[in-house]
Amino acid sequence: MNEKNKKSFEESLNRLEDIADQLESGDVDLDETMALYEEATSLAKWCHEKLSKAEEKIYKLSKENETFNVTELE
Amino acid sequence: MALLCSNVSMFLANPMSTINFLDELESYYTVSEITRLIKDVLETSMPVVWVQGELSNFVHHGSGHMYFSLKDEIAQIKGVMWRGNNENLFFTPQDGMRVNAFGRIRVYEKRGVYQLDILKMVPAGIGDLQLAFEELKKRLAQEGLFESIHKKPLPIYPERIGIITSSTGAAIRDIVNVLNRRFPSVVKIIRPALVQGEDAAQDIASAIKEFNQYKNVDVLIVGRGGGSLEDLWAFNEEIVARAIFQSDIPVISAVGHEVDFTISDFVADMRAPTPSAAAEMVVMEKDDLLDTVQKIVQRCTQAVKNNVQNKKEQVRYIKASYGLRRPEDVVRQHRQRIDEITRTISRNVTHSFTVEKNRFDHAKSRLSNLHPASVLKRGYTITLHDGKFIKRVAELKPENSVKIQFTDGTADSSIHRINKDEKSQKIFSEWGTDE
Repeated sequence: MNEKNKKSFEESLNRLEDIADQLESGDVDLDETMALYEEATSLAKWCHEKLSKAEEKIYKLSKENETFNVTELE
Repeated sequence: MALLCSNVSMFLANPMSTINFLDELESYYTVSEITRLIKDVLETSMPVVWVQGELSNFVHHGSGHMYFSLKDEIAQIKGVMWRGNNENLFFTPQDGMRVNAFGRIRVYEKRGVYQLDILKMVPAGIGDLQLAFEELKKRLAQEGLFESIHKKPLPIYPERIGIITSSTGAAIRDIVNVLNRRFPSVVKIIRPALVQGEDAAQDIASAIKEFNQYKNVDVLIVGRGGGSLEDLWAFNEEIVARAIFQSDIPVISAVGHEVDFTISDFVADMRAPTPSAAAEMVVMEKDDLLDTVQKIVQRCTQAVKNNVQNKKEQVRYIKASYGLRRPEDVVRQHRQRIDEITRTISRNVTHSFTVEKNRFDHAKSRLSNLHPASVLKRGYTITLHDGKFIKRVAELKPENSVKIQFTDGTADSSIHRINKDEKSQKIFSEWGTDE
């Protein structure tokens, strides 16, 4: 179970909200509008992928000599 | 010298009625001897017994040993439960509680007392468990363990969930099923624990501490499925209550059914009526979140459209007010930028969820461009000889009759002359096509 992507869903969603607010405020120039919009669509895509991914496994926490192991249950 | 009797009847058969003050006794016991006799009689005639009585003067000493009296309306007997024996009690004894105690009578010669050395102890009835429950609840409430100021908020979007329950019970299945249905991407980590019996409370408390050392979960679900009051008792134990209270990770208590309330429920950051309900409350529905994301993207798209519209109007305004005196290309550049953005939006207007579909559509259209019918539509022709495609002039000879396929029909023709040279190549390279 490697968590290579440290970005959390919560952060992404907050950023998306931010972008929507900024764009709605209307005081961004065209270049910025373009950049923000592209960021928004890629964040949305990331969220979608994150939500759609199914974590089928159940993991088990065990402690051995002060170190923790997380292994698949069964 | 006295005879040391270990026989009760002999001891009782010794009348001591007529002894004069200074008479030499022929037979007597020393204190040690009689005490020893009493000890022998009591300890051998009653090796182990069950005794029911009410606890009073209960003290759980710093040494770990428990001292108390067991009493009824008429009598009382001292009791002791050594640390090694009381470690596995599944409840916390309280004054006033009726218990069934199993143990041996022990006589302490030095102090001339006898007491019950208790090996096992259980509450005498449900009412006594209730009493223990109420007592502990009152004590922990007074200490402030249940106060809302201590309740930690649950994470809104947990990505890793720690679960403490039996790895074989219904609870884990229920929790995992609900999580997988609502939010399949969440990582589920179980620390299997005993959830009933003597060692359960200790095991649950250890599990909570372990998750806190491990740290890498956002929230804990601690619980088990339904059962009798006795089955659920571990969740009414002080050691579990304190472990939950000390947890830095928010804890959801999920014990038994809706009607079952445990001490864990009071001290936890959130009480769930059942394990399934805990899973329901810990994650949002995936579809709702997708919907949220989609709505934000729609907001963005709308905002961008509005912004572009505004800029367009600005351009029109500039053009109208400055007319031809304004350098045209400034306006053109501006307009070009707007067009670019408009294209981006229309590309993304159904937003990126459809990226895959778009790629597929694109691939499909590229494939259809390669279809012979499309090629013909663009003005190319196909030459057939004897029903076969002709790809090289080398396949033909003068006088061969050929059929030329156009997009709208065929033409019959015959080969006049073969020119095997670079001219035709040259035409293609001028056209710059490689299709």
